[in-house]
Amino acid sequence: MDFASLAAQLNAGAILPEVLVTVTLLGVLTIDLVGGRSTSRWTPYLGIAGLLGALGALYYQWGQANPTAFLGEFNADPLSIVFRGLVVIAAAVTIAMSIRYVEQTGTSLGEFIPILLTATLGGMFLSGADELVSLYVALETLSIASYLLTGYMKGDPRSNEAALKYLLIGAASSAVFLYGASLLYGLSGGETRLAAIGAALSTLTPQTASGAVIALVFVAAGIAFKISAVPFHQWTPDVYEGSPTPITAFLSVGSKAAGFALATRVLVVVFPSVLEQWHFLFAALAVLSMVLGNVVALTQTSMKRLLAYSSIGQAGFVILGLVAGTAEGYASMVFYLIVYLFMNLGAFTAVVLFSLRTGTDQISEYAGLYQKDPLLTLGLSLCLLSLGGIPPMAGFFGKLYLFWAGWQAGLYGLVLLGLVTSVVSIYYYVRVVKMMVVKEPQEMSEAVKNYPPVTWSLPGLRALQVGLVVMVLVTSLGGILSNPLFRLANSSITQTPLFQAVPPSIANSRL
Amino acid sequence: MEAIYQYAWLIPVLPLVGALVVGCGLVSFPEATNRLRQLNAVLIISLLGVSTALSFALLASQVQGHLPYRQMLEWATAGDFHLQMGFEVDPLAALMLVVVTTVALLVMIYTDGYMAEDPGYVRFYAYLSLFSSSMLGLVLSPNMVQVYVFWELVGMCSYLLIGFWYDRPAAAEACQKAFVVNRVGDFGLLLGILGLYWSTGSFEFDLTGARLADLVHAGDLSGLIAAGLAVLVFLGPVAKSAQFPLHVWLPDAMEGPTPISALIHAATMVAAGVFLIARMFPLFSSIPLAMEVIAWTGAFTAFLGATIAITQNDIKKGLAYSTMSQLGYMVMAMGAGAYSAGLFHLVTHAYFKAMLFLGSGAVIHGMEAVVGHNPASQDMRLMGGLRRYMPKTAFTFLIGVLAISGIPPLAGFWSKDEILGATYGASPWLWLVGWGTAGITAFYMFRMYFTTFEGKFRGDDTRLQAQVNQELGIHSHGDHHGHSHGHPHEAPWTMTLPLLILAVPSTLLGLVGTPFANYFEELIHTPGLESAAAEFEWSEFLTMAGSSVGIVLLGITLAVSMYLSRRLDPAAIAAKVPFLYRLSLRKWYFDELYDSLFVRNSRRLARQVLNLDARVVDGLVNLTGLVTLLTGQGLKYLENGRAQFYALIVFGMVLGFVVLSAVT
Amino acid sequence: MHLQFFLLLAAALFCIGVYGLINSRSAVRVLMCIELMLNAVNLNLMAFSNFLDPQEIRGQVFTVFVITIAAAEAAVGLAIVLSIYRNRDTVDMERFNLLKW
Repeated sequence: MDFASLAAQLNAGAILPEVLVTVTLLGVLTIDLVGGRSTSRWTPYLGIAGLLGALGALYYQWGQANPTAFLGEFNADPLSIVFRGLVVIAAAVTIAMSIRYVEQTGTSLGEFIPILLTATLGGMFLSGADELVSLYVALETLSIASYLLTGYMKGDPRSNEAALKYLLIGAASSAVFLYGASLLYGLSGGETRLAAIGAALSTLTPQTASGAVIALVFVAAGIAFKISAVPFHQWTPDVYEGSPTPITAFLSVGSKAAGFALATRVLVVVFPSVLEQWHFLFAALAVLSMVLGNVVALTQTSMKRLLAYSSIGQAGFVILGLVAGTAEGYASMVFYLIVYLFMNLGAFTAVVLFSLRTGTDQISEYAGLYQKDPLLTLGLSLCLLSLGGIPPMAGFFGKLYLFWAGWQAGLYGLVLLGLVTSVVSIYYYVRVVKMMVVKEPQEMSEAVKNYPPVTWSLPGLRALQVGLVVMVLVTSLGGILSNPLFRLANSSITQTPLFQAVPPSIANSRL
Repeated sequence: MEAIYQYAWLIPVLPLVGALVVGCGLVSFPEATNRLRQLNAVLIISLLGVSTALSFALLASQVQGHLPYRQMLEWATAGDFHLQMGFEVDPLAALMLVVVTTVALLVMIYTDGYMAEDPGYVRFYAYLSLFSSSMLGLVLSPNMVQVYVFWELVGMCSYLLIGFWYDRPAAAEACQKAFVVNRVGDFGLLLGILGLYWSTGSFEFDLTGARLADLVHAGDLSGLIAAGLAVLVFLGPVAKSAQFPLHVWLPDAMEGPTPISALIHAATMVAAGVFLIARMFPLFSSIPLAMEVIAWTGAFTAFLGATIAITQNDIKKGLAYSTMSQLGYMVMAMGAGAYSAGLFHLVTHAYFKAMLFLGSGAVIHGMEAVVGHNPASQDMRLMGGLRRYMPKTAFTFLIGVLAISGIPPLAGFWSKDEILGATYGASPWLWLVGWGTAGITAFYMFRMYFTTFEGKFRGDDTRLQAQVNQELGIHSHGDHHGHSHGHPHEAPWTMTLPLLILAVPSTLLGLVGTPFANYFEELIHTPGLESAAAEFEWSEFLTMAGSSVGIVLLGITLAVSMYLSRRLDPAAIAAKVPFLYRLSLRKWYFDELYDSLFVRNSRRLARQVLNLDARVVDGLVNLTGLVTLLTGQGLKYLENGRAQFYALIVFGMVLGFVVLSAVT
Repeated sequence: MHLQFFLLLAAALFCIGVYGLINSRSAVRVLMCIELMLNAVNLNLMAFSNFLDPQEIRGQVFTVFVITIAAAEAAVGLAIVLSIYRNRDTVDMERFNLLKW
């Protein structure tokens, strides 16, 4: 077999975006090694450029005739492209918001960016992995890099502790996931490709089918850990609170998006034979996440913890789309994740900015911020309102689509619960907005009273500002002009072969 | 010519850009932006200038007979539900574009002089630009949904601007009132639009009308329901164009700065109601009952406004009631089927009323030098003889008064005469109301002119001042001695220039719509009908024009003898018919009526509901809230911070789910 | 030899790992217990590979990957334990509760 035909058979072009990220990663690392610390003035921008390049490469991959690469190890179908795009954007915005943050804490950017890019790489491969081994390797690449990033503030005991907890729980649940994977390998009679496993599982006798259910529960536990669904969520608030804030943002968006990619692919491809069971299991996760995430968020005093619980609740909403099981359900899930990416990153960027200027993230310290920093207040308020699902923000349309798809699929109870809990969620989001906007000057918190003059000239702040403005713009206009996003989400589902078996929505067949 | 049509979307977008740029500047760098006062104004004015030029080009092309142009793009699609947005340029839209941009441009130039000392100068320009953008967007809207969106936007700008001086309690109250009253109308409009969509499946102006008529014709829809829908839609214009019974907000809205009164509450936004009726004309004209309602609402409003305006002492309130009355004329014309006459009056009125308002602003500006920056500067009892101090303002104001009264050959004569002629064809009773109102209009407008500009100056009469101040509840008697006892002065050129420019269309614009050579109707005519080339008869025209000029002259004579030559004493006349006098002065007791009917009752209802609420509902809500919070507190402690406990839960849950799945 | 024996052994090993993970007070022992769990999985994979897939031995390949990643995980874990020890002078799991509620 000569090289050319091997290359053609491998279809290596499918991982061009990943290759770009890898090259950037190595480039940043080498430049930092050779040039020393002074290069960290511009290496972050190199990182962002590399990620944007990867985004461009993803764009050109859309609708490729043959998405399977590396003999079935990797799948570059539209679904994976959307999720890889989400991970890449999340990473790019995270870099933008962390330049100043890392610099201010006195740690090195030259290591931070390669580790973050490694996590990105893991997330990207996870979104397209089509075989158990590559799936596991990608999952662990993402996880291990995340542990390192969580513990990046070496001198801070909270950061250390968060990293240790994350590592222990993460390793434990990946072991559980792996155990489930080994069961799948056995049950399918020695197959590791997802599609082959799915086919093999559907031929099982009723007696052995219970083995499939056990494997499902084990695998689901690993997935639920990644998307921090209740009851596998308990690491989330602690880790989010202890991590450097930009990393919290990445974990809550990039890592979670990769987790949903994993969930969608594994559940749809491997477990159609136990459809009822996995629907039941994830419906339970959705119920618990929506209730617990939103209710506990009410009692939080730290902004980062609040956003942690809010992200648990949001995960519950997204699972709703997954459980719907129709093409519309999946599309609404993708749509909501896209919207969630922008609004959550916008909120986190604002939180990073606030903590850069005041050094705190207590909610009570935000009181009266409107008087001192209108732009920050406006951005944070819009993003929080969008997370709460207030029209006409993008989040409202996202929730609307999710609930609509759920309703069409007959999940009346889940949708009603979702409505109730999203009303609860509005309460704690608006509480923060009210805290910032309504307070009289004399009720201003100490941190806001000593607020430094608003300036963007410090190195790295400009990138943060651009990130904030872009996120807020998309969040506030994305709802009214939602059609492009809408179409993207829909076509990522309809053009992906693995959803061909999915029943077309009841609504479409009726019309 | 195609090229301009492709760029027509720039017309609303350019002012929006201006508003956004200045707004962002205000949000992020407040001090720097405020320091660049006039630079901001220049930016916003020049952007609007480009829009104006584009609008003129579009109008020119439409006059030359270019076909209407429409460009749409998908807004949202879900299944077979398509929502489109875009813009449509037809003769009506092109004409409205020109009216809105020119008035807005002149008002903006005027603002520079009027608001020169105000700390909110830049903010005011940003709002003005935002409003212009929304209004232009409304004009270009091709379907009802988009109209509704912009309808709300202009409403929002209007509240922002009425309450611009939010530290004045009267302004805050006025903007609240405008908000509440408009909410009633907007709610009706929204219901109407949704109802029309429900019955016809379309948001298009012409399609809904045609389909609704078909449905009624085929008997699928009761005629009453159709009329009900039409009336619901009409509620929107009723609120926005200050028609009876939702007219009460407009006079109070005069608490806003005067340029706003000119732009929003005289020339453009309040005319949006008439514009919407014009857009929905195919719908209304297919339902005779709705047309009746519209015509009589308009006629009654015209009469009501005119009678109240007679006794107003506040110059701006007087103009506000006059606006209401003139809007009533337009709505009446629409209801009588005189489509082009109504719109013609809209256009001429926009110019002369904007000029009158800006003139009153110049007067107030001049008076502030004498009585200080407070509502007393708007009181006509303290004015008089101002012609000597501000000749340019007086001259333009006189032109406006002549125009609105309907003296040939000024603009108002032609448009009003056309309305009266058309309504006579529809119903002589309507005509009678309109005709009488024309006389009253002439009377109160000349009363206003004479008390303001003629006679002797009364502003330095301290006794009168004290009386007025007491009536208006102004206690700050001593704090304006810096201003006091100066002389009123002519306004700066930035204020007089727009006045002089506006005087031109107020004088000449009527000539494009004369009954013997009606270029206006050639351009704007009832949708679906070809230009009604009604044969012109001198005899008919002369009777109509003669009778209306006659009553106008009667009104003027009365005003002259009462307020100029003082042969008749107004106070004595008022004393003879105290009931009528008080009815007019107290604005037909509408505020009191609404207060006792709606405000008090709803307060009482609210209080009772509140009682119920406090005892039962509140308890329940609080209980739920408390339970939620307590649950939150309880669940919170599951996060005990120990990683191994978390791991235990993970494994426990895996085991639990396995068992659960095995059981089920 | 039956496949079941290997699977039971692996399951037992996994459970021992879980027990140790939950009950150990030393962070290092917790890490070792994670290794135990991963090795239980390896055993599973090897057994399946030998009994069901002797031609392509995918399970053995999988095992190699798992061992590699376990090594990386252990390295990162020990590094984190090291840095926490520097700050807190202890590796007692009971005392790591700065972050809670």
